[in-house]
Amino acid sequence: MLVVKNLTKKYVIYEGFYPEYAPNQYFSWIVNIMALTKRKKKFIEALCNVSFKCRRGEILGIVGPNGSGKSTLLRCIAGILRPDSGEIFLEEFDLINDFDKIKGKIVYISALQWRSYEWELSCYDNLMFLAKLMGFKGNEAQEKVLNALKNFELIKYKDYPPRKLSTGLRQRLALARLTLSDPLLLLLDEPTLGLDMVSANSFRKYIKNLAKAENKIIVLASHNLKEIELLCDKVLFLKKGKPIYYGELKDIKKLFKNITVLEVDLKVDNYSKLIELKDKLEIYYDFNHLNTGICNLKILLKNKHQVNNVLEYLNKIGEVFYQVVRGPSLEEVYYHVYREI
Amino acid sequence: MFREISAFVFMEFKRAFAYKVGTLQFICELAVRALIVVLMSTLWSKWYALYILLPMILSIFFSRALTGFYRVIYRDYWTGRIELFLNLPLKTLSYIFYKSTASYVWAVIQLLVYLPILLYLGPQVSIKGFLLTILAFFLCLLACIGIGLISASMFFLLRAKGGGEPISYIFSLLTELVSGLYYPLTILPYPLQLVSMLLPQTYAFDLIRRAWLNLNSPTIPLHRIFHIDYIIEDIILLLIHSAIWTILGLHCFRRSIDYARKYGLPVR
Repeated sequence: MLVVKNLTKKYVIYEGFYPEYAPNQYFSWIVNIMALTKRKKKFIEALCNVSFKCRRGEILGIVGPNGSGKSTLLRCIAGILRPDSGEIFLEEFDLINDFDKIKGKIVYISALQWRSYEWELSCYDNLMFLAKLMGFKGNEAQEKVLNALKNFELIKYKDYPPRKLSTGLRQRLALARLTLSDPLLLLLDEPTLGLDMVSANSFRKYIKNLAKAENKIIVLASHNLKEIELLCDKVLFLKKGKPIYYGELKDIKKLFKNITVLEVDLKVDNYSKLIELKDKLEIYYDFNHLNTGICNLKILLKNKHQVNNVLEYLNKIGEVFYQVVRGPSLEEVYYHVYREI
Repeated sequence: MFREISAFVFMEFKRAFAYKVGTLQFICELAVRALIVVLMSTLWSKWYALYILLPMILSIFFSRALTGFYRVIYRDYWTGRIELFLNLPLKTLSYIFYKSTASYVWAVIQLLVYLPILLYLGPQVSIKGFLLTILAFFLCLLACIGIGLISASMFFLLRAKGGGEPISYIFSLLTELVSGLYYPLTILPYPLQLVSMLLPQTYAFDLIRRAWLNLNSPTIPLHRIFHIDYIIEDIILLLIHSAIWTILGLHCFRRSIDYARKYGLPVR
């Protein structure tokens, strides 16, 4: 089991002094030197009291907007960064103080990790190098590498250097590292970034299988909420380093069961009325087909009783072609949560 | 350990052959340096060519020890590889050692080129002299590794991420100017002779010249203060240097990695 308790991490940044006005060009260099010397030290709270538990066989999804601390959290668990306070335990091992004892059992794949691979060497050589560093010898290493290449459908690119591959193939190469060792904990930061739909789906199946069949602990940070919904058993919502919601995926949906999503296709003649509507309601998605004048809307309502009123209003300002009333998806819950807080 | 080092060496070679211009430049530089030494031996004397060549061969390794660790961190930081290596089952210190060890392969190649020239110059060296050379080499290399580790730690401690940092710069500059690499220390002004005592290379170069060229006169200011055997004095001073720099280097490097982890510096 992975246990994270009250994890806190602050970053120091130096705010420069950037004067807006220099009297003339001869003074500009003095101003530039002043900019170098006058710096303010500022602390940014990257993580604040983050706690969660993830059992073997479970997948935990971390979601949050850019800069919410998802990658920092994964890096702290992976031992790349040291948290300021808090505890991280993987089984009986203290990951902050005894990290070296269990280092080989944790694999962290960062977003765009393919950039770390040797640009001019073949995919095979890159993975072989990593396999050797992971402690595999000659034939065993070769077998592991070929298996990894097969698993991620890279075998026909095995002699290609990463620079000749597309972004998606490079991402697959980065993910292929997962199959080289037999980790207990997998930390994945936006693993399907750049993958095409087919590759992303087969990767999701692979991840699900790893967790369920091989009893691995997987922590996944992603902006793709459909992916989180498909894969994860638990979800942690972060905002500016603070945990907003944490719990089973189904419980989070239950928590927001009152929210109703109204999907409509609306033909409007007067767009100003539609803009008024946007100010009054929580419109999650809208798309205007300019050539037909039809507008697709997804409206988040706080309860079901609002549906009739809204539809009545919509019928007044235009013509409703299609309507569906349903419960919220994780993506819609996410939108609602981050809009409210 | 051997497997990891061989993996890094293999990687280094593969990369070198992928970037052909850099390798070609290395070969050209090697040829030019070798040619200069041969010309010196014919125009001046074999003795002086030997006087220059011996420390020159050693300093190939010393300069790699001085700058190698910083280069590894610099290169791996900007390519994002530090993040990858920190997640592999390797200790940080082992990773930086293995990776910089790979670059010594190039130093060995340089040595192999200089070796026939060295033999052509016809040095007279006893077994004792040979063993002294090895001792001086390893002690000085250890000291340079210590200084190199301090230099590498400056990447995070001083946030010297631009490809240069003060420690290896100062030591490399002083080595060229005052360690007695190209000329005897005694021709330098006395204050500069005192500065040369801060460099471990000064004693290694002196020791190796005593072993191969049978020098008997005092060369370092301390030789004139303590009237003991110059060779023993050099060995003692090298031992002190290697102990101080190694301990200081390891301490600095560990501190810098802790500092980097604390302030979020290993990742771009």
